[in-house]
Amino acid sequence: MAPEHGANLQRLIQGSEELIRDLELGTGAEDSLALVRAAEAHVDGEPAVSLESFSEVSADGTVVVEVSPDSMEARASFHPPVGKGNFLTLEDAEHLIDVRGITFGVDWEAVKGCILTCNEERIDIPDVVIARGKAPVAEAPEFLVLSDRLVTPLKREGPAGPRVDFKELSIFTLVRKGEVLAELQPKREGVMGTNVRGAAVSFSRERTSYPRPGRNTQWSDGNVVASCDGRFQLNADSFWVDEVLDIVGSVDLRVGNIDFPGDVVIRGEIRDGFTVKAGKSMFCVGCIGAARVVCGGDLVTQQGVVGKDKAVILVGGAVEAKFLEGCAVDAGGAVRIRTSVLNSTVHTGDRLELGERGIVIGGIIKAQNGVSAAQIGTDRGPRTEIYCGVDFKVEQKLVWIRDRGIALANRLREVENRIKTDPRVGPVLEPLRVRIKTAIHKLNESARTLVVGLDRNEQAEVVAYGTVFPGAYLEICHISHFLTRPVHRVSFRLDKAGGRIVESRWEPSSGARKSRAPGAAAAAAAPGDARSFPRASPTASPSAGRPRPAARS
Amino acid sequence: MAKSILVIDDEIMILDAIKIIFEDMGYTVQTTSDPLHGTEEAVNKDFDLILTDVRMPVRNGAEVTETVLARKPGARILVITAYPNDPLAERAVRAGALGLLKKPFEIAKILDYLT
Repeated sequence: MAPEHGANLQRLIQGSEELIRDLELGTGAEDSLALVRAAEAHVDGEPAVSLESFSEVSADGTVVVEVSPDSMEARASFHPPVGKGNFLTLEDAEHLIDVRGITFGVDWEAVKGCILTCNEERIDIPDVVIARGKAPVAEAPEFLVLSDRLVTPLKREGPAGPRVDFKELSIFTLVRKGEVLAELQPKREGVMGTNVRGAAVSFSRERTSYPRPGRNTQWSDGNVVASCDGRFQLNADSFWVDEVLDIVGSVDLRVGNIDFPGDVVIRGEIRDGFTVKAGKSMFCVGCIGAARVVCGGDLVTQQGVVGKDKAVILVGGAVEAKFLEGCAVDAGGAVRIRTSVLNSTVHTGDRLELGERGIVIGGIIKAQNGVSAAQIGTDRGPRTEIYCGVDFKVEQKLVWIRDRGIALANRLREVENRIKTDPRVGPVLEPLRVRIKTAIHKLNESARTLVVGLDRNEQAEVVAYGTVFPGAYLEICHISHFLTRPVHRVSFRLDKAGGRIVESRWEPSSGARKSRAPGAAAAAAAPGDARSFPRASPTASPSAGRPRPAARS
Repeated sequence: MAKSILVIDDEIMILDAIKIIFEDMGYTVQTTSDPLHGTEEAVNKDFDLILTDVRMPVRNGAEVTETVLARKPGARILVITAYPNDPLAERAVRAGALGLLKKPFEIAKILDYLT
């Protein structure tokens, strides 16, 4: 026997037994008349029911409509007819919608579609939105919208993306003077709404909160613009522009290369391979590695430069550091180093000044107004070259001219040789020869002009308040001087008439002096960061005459 | 009369460049790559300035300087060197050379000594 048949049979037996048991309990099985009397009592007063009614149950199709509490929406549930019940009609629905007071926003197409589906497929369609009110538009005051560039987060490509130099991805948003930071959006008027019962719905008034323009911003033609170059800053209440870029940590991959138009303060280090450019001064708490640092003002570092022969430091103003090692420094102003300059190239338009125990070992120093240090060179270390009295920037230009002159001269010689060996090419090469000669002449004219205007300081001096070791090479205003023996406490000056460098004993005139901190960046240096730079004499003026090397006597 | 320069260097390219550039500036330039010949020229003729390389075969710049100044004490000699601390350059200066020129040459310094 199939399981379902067994179950049906079981239900049949169980139901039958219940019926029998009811009869037995209510009437008593032994009295047959009692059963008749019970039947009579049960049917007494009931209307006669046709037999047909027992064969099928029927019900008409219905629709139920409900309106949301805020009257902004009406929903309906559609129920199909049962048996021989009547189909649901549009009139039924219209009537009910009317009864519910719904007069606005009725979606009659939806109502018709639901009725059709409900009747044909005889399925319930519950909870259909059949009417929607029109929402009011809130009144909004004028407000500021920040420029996309300033609020869009920086996109960094993932490992699958193209190669990215993360050093170039700075986390700082830098803006230029006059750049639009935010646009003013005008006030929006409120608009009344209508609910599904046709009643008006009043609008609200928005209270928009947005950051207000702050420091270094100004209004211009309905926009907020930056009033200076700087770093854009934003918080929940305000936005502004900082003229000083303050980097809390080190310049590394988290920060990226920096190119900032104002002052830069770095609370950590500048790591190898990074570039930091500041339009004004720079202050660095930690070491500068094999990096490229460019600043228009002064550079102050509380530590020094560990350049690994790769660091390039280009400074418009002065430089202050504890030490320099394996780096190239070009400074328009003085270079003041407390302890040591090792194997570095230092060019300064003023003086190189070291602390009272400061040493210069190896490298090439070009200091227009002179050098002062405790020790220059060592007894067995690398040779040290010191050039003073001449503007190194003009010299750099002359080197550029010379190199191009050499290249053109060699090309001229080549052209002339071709013309000499093969006269047939003469007509072709002769115009080129003339042009090369003209170019060389122009270069030479430029060189002459530069040499005439070459700013020399014949008062430049090299001072050692300790020892200068043999092997150090000194040159003042193009006059050479070799050290053949150690000399102590000595000052080297140009003897213009004699066309030579003379040594004289250096005596401390005013003892160790504390240096004057250069520029604004130095003002940020830690208090108590005193350093001393003894000087033999006041710094000579770079404009003090143009010496010429005199004939040797 | 144009001032004259004698250049002694075994690098022909440098000789050519100095000759072309300084002749264009109006100087008379004589060049030689033979230091022995250059020494004789320096002694036998009058030059306003003599430029000699330090590192040359047969006779180095220090020997050229010593020989020329021994026979012609008033000669004005600049020594061309790649390294100012070259002992030969130092020896030439001690022998009486006016000073050093960094290789290949320094226009400003040459003009200074010609003025």
